[in-house]
Amino acid sequence: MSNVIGSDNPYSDDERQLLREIAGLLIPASSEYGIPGADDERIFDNILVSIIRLAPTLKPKLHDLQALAEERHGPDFLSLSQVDKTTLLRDQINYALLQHLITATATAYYQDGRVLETIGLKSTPPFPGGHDIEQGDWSLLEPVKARAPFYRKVPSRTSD
Amino acid sequence: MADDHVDVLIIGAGASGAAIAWSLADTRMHIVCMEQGDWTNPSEYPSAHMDWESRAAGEFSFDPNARGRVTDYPVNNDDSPIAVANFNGVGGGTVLYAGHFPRFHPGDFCVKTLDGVADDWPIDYETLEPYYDENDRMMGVSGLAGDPAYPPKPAIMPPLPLGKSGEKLAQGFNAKGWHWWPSDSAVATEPYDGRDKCINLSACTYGCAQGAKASTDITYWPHAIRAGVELRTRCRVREITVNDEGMASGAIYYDADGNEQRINAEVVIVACNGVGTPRLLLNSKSTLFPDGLANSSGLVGKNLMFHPYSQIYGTFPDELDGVRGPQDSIWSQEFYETDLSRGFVRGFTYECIRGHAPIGTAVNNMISGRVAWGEDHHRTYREVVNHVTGMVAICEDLPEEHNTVTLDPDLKDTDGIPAPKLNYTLSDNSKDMLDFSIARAAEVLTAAGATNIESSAPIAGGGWHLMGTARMGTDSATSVVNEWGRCHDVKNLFIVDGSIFVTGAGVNPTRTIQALALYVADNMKQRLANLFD
Repeated sequence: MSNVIGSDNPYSDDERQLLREIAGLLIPASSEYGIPGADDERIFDNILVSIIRLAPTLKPKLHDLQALAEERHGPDFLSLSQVDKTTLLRDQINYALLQHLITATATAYYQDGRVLETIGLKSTPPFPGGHDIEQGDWSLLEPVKARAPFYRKVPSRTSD
Repeated sequence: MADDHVDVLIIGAGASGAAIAWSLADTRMHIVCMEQGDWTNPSEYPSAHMDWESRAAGEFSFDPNARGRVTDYPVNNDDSPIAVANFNGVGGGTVLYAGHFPRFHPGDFCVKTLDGVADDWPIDYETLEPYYDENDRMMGVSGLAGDPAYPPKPAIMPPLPLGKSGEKLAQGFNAKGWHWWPSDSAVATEPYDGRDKCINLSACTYGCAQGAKASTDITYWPHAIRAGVELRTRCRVREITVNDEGMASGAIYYDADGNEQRINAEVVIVACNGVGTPRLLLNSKSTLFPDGLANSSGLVGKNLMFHPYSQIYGTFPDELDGVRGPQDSIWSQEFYETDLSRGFVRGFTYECIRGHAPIGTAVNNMISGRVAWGEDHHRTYREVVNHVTGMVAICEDLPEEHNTVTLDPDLKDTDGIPAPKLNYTLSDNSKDMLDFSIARAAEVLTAAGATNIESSAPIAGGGWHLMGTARMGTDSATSVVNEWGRCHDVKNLFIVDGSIFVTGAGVNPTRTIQALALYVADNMKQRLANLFD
C-alpha cells in the first residue's frame, strides 16, 4: 500500500506513472543481482514522498518532457521504445529534471534493505548491530615505528 | 527567576563548556551552564534509521543553514569560500564531529619564533600537556603510543582497526616512505566510563547511536551534573550584561518560549565557538563597551581561521571498507612541519577516510556520469561502491585580520538576535598548501594501486574548525584574553573555546580546545582569592 496520502500528493496519476517509468529507466531491476528496479512499489513510494516539495519545479518539467516526446515522436513518452525514452531523457533540455530525479531515485533506492544486502551492507539500520571490519595488517607499521621522531623540538617557555 | 543569581555562568555546553563546567565543579560554587539547544536522544541519530543518509543531510546536517532547527542560528557565508559547520545542543560540535583527535605539536605554539609568521602563543605544549592527559582520560582516546610525529603521549585504548581501507592507504604511504600512524580517536575501542565500544556504525559525523564516540553530552556532562553543575537547555543568550564598574554582571537570554529572561553572575565564561563567541561579544554593546564587550583591541571577530581542507580519493580494484567502520583510521603528518622548498610555510595532516556511503556514491557518480543510469547501472555502481578510499588534508590557516566575523545587518535568529556574517578569503599560502596536499595524496593513492583519482579544494561546507576570533596574548592591545583565558578588558569574563587560539595548527582542534578549557579552569581555581585582580 502506498505511503503517500492521496490528499498530500501533488502529482496526478499520469505524472506518477511517468515518474515511475523514469525511475525504472534510471535504475532498472536486475536478475543478475536479484534486485528490484527503482520502479518497485515500495521504493517508488519513497521517491514520491521525497519529491513532494519539488512539485512546483518538477511538474512543469514533466509536462515539457511529454510535449517533447509528442513533438519528436508523436505518441506520449510512455508509449515510446526504451531507446527513444532514454534518448529523450538524455537530451540536454531535460538536464535539470534528470538531476532532480537521479538524486531522488538513487536516495530511495540505496536505502532499501533488499538492495543494500547485495552490496555487502545490512538490510537493517546500522544501529544496532553495526558492521564487522578487519583489523588489517599491523606489520605495515614496522618501518614507521623504526623512524626517529621528526617533530620540531622547541625550547620550554612555560608561563608562570 | 526573581533571584536568579549564580556564582558562575557558562554560556555554551559544547566541547569546552562541558570541560570547564566539570573542572570547576569541585569548587562547590553555584555553576549554571546555558545552552541554546537541546539534549539529543541517541535514538534520533541517523544511524538508527534506514534512511540515515537522508537524515544526515537534513536534521543532522552539520550546516546550520541546511539543518535549520529552531535552536540554530543562521550564518551568512556569502563572502566566504568555506561555510560554517556546527551543532547547537548539549555536546555542541562534538555531537557531529568524526572524533579525529590529534594534539597540537610543540612547534604549533611558537610559529613566529620557528617560521617568522603569525604570532607565538603565550603558553606552550609543556603547559598544556597535563591538561591534554586529563582530557584524554575524560573523553576516552584510542590510539597507539610511539608516533614519531609527536612527543610521547599515552594511549588509553587500542587503536581503531586499520580495516581494508586503512591497510591499502598504509601500503601507499609505505611505498612512498612517508609517515602514517593510526589516528588518535575519540571513539572508544573498549567499554569506557559507561560507554560501549565502537561497532562500526559508519555514521560518526551524524551522531553516534552506540555512544562509542566521545561527545561531551555523554562524557563530561554526566560527571559535571553529578558534581552539582546545573545545565539549562533552550536558553539562548542575547547579550552579556555589565555593571557600572565594567564587570560582567550576567546575561539576558530567551527561554524556550521566547520570553526574555535575566541571570546574574559573579563570573561569566563564554564557550560558544569561534563564530558564536564573537557574535555574542559584538552583540553585547553598552555605554562602557560601545564596540562590543572585551573589544578595546578591536580584535573581537578578527583573525578568523578555518582549516582549509582538500579531499582526494581513488578507486581500487579490491573491495575496501566502504561505509563500514568508523570514519577514522590512520593519519599522516609527513608534511606537517615547515619545509620552504614546498612553496609554503607550515603544513598539514592527512586524515584518511575509509570510504563513502551508498547513496552519496550513487548520486555523485550518476550525476558526474561515472556511474551509468539504465541497463549498465548496477555493474558500474559496483565498480565504485566499497572500492573508494582516500583522505582529506587539514591545512594550517594563518591568522589574518581581514578574515572576520561581524554582525549581519539583516539576518537574525528566531529570537531576533543578529546573526554572524563571515568575510574570509583563502591566502596564497593556503592555496599553495592545498595544491601540494592534493599532488602528494595522488602519489600515495597511485602507489597503493588506485585509479581514477579525484580531488577538490577547499571543501566548501567544511568550516568545522572555528578559531582565532578572540585571541590569547599578554598584550591587551594585540589580544582579547590573557594567557589564562581572562578578558583583558573585563576581569570576570573568560573565554575558553577555539576563538582564543593564536594560531590554528594543522590538526583538528577539539582536543586542544578542551585542554585549554581545563587549563583555564585550573588557573581560575588557583586564583580564586584574587581572581579579579
